[in-house]
Amino acid sequence: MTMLTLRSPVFSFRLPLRRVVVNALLAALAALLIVAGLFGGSYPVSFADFMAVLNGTTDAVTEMVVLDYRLPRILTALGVGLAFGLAGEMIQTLLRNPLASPDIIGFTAGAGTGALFTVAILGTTAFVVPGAMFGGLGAALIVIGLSWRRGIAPGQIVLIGIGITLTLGVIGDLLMTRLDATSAYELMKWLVGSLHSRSYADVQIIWLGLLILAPVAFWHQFILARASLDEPVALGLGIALNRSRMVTLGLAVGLVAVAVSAAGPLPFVAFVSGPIAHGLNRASRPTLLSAALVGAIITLFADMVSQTALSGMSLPAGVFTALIGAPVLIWVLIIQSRKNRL
Amino acid sequence: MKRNTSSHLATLAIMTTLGLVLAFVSLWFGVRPLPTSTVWQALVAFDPSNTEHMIVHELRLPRAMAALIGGGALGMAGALMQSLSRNPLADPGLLGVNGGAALGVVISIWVLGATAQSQLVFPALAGAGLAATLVLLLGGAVRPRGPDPTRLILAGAAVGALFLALTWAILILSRESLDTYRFWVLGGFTGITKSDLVALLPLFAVSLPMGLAAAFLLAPLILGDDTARALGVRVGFVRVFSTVAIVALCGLTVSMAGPIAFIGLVVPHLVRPLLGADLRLVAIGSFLTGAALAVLADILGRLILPGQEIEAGATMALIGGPSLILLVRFRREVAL
Amino acid sequence: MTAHLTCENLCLSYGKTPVLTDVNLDLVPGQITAIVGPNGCGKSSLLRCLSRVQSPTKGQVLLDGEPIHKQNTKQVARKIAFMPQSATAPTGMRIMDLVLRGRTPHQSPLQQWTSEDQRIVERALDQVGLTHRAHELLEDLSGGQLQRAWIAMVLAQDTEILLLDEPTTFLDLAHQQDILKLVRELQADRGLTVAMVLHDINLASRFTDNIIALRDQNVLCSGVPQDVITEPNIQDIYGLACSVIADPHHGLPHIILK
Repeated sequence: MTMLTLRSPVFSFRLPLRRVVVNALLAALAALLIVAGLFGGSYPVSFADFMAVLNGTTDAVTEMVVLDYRLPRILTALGVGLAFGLAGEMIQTLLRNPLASPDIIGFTAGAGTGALFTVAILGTTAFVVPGAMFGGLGAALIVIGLSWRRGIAPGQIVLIGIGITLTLGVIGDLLMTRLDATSAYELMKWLVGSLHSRSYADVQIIWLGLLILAPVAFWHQFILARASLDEPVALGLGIALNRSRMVTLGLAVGLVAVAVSAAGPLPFVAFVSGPIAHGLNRASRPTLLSAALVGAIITLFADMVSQTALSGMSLPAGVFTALIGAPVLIWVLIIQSRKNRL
Repeated sequence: MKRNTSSHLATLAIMTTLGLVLAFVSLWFGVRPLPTSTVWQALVAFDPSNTEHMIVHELRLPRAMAALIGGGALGMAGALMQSLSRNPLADPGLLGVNGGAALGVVISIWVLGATAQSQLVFPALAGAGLAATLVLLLGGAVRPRGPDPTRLILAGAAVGALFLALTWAILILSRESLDTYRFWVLGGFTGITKSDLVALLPLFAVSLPMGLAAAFLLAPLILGDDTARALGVRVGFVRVFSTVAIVALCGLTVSMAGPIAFIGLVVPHLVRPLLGADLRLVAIGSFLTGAALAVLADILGRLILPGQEIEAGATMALIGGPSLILLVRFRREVAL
Repeated sequence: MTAHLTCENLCLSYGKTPVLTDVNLDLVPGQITAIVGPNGCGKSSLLRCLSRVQSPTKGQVLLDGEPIHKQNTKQVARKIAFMPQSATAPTGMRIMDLVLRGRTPHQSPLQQWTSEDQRIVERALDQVGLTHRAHELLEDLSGGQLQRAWIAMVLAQDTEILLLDEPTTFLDLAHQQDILKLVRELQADRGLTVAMVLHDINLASRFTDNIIALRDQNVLCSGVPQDVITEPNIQDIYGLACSVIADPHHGLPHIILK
């Protein structure tokens, strides 16, 4: 356990060397995926082409591929992955439960049901995103409101979240059977989550959200790490627990909301990023930066696979985030249990 | 809170009666309303030439029995699962069988063009079995000390998600799958025929006693692994056996009726205040209560919206979700 | 000047079950106070109220004359450190991480490892004898080591008042002695005020200045060990018959059960 000490008059930190290395490697991997996504693929673009695009001195096709197609898509994937990773790690740390994810606060189920409602009532898929936001935020508020008991009670959140998620899930399933086949199919694709044909509007949503929420999240990490101790210990250390929990939930809901509105639910990213980051760092949670980077890597990689390997089948990225995330979680699990000789 | 054996027996008897009465009541309802006397006649003096008797025998009776057995299996599996994982929130669905069954279903629709519910039973069973095997292997069932409960749940979640992702992939590749799947996923006892039931009954006849045996074996583990070992319990074997029993119970039910949420999660919590902490009693009580609840959901699904039927699985979740919340809100300290 | 912790008419009930009724007490500044009593008499609840971790149903706890629940919780955490019974830590934590958590009220998101933090954390680890194990995972420790790690965390908080709930559980005889001697040293050197729940009356007699005996949700008697540890009092507190003798080394009251 080599530790690095960083000290100056304004700041002082104690960082495990392992965490620095892990984060650097994760960042490098994310960067590699971004580069591969920009330059590789079915229409290879060289670095010179890319610079030419930025200078505005290239042919229309290359410019379209890079500026209209790849760049917004990759920027969205990166931002959404970071946001899901952060939100997942915050919720799992708050609830001290590796099985928790932002799904548990009802957001995803609410978003799905909201989206389905707009289609079922309005008969068009044009308002899916506003419907999803409304449903998601509404469900999260209901879960948090119902678990209020002179303050937020984390134990209650899990139970009430399960109740709300179950109910909303079934309402969604029922609505699904009441739709015509085409709308059902379109919605199915949205519900899985896709990065296909992202626009700069999506990029704006997710990056504006990240710009505001991510710094607060990293600032809040100090409190979050202490609020996740046993309640009497945390209170004894002078942590304002209730405020800390509200901030954590607010940040997580906000991050998931911008991510879902930019790319749909993208299953498993939020759920799996934290445990993987935890396994890599071999440190107590939260490790927000690592989790965010893992989320970004999974999303970027899923996006790449969804475009290249099975391009003829046009599967959305959401299928692959789960297909990638699940085996990785299994692998982390096996490594951990071997280490603990369970 | 110590109660004597006879009061426990009385409670179990009430649960049994409730289930049977509800099952009988469920025979009345349907597209074609039948008078009580006809239903009774069909049961005690069956006349194959009578259409109404045939409806009762071929459609309604299998359906009621499927609800009883399926609900009971889920209730019992839930009690075992919560005890095995020492996690009161554990639902047998966490072991990934639902995801496996769903994958089996969509593959059979996609590849074989199956659409009728009875064509989906065995593909679902195969998928559930595959998922369960994977979960057991990854959950550490092959190790000498048996599976670690936490690892089992994580493995279940991961395998479930993996199969769900594959299911989505197929749903997006083939619209026909989605058209059948979106009805199957609601879960219910509507399309069950006599022949489905007859085919599955032997399997239930094996796995329900297994579940009961698992309850007897698991009971000493409540005191902790070390205490159980000191009492001469082979912890590893007990865990593997119980997991297999849980998976069999859930896998059979999901193949028969599609995913039915909530019974496994909540029924044990309803039963424990009545029967105490003894897992053997709780498992039996959960079987009886789960059966009654599934039949009730099946009946209510036919009554909520006039002219339409809501599948029992959906009804269950629609009632279950809010009642879980009420339970959490209004009991001071829910010992979940 | 050292901080002063008192409580007035303190009542606490969980639902309808009363746990504490009308408790008044005054922790003598700069002295060690033991809280003793039978299981379930409200010792731990009293300590939780005093440390403001639990809000009382009625009455109040005063820190330096001000109601403790109205004070800034971080400021309070710089004056009072509280060690609850059988706390658990998140997985993956090392002793060092846990002890450093004790510095929380002195830290901020930007200042998480000042040289002051380092000095006090290293001192706390040394005081409980865990310096060489600082980088071990908490889940790998024995019960006694874990208990000492938690004590180190509380010490790292560097407060004037220490509230310890059964600091000697899980510890063998030697380590019980070590911890209580350490508490005594800290009190002597730095004038700390200490209140701790203890089960062993003889240890309480040997290492504390005052004893508060609880019974049936209230204070039965309090005072210096010689006044509290008497045969009739032990009979009242625990319903046990015993003889009290003067221990041969220190002349302090020592109970021998009949």
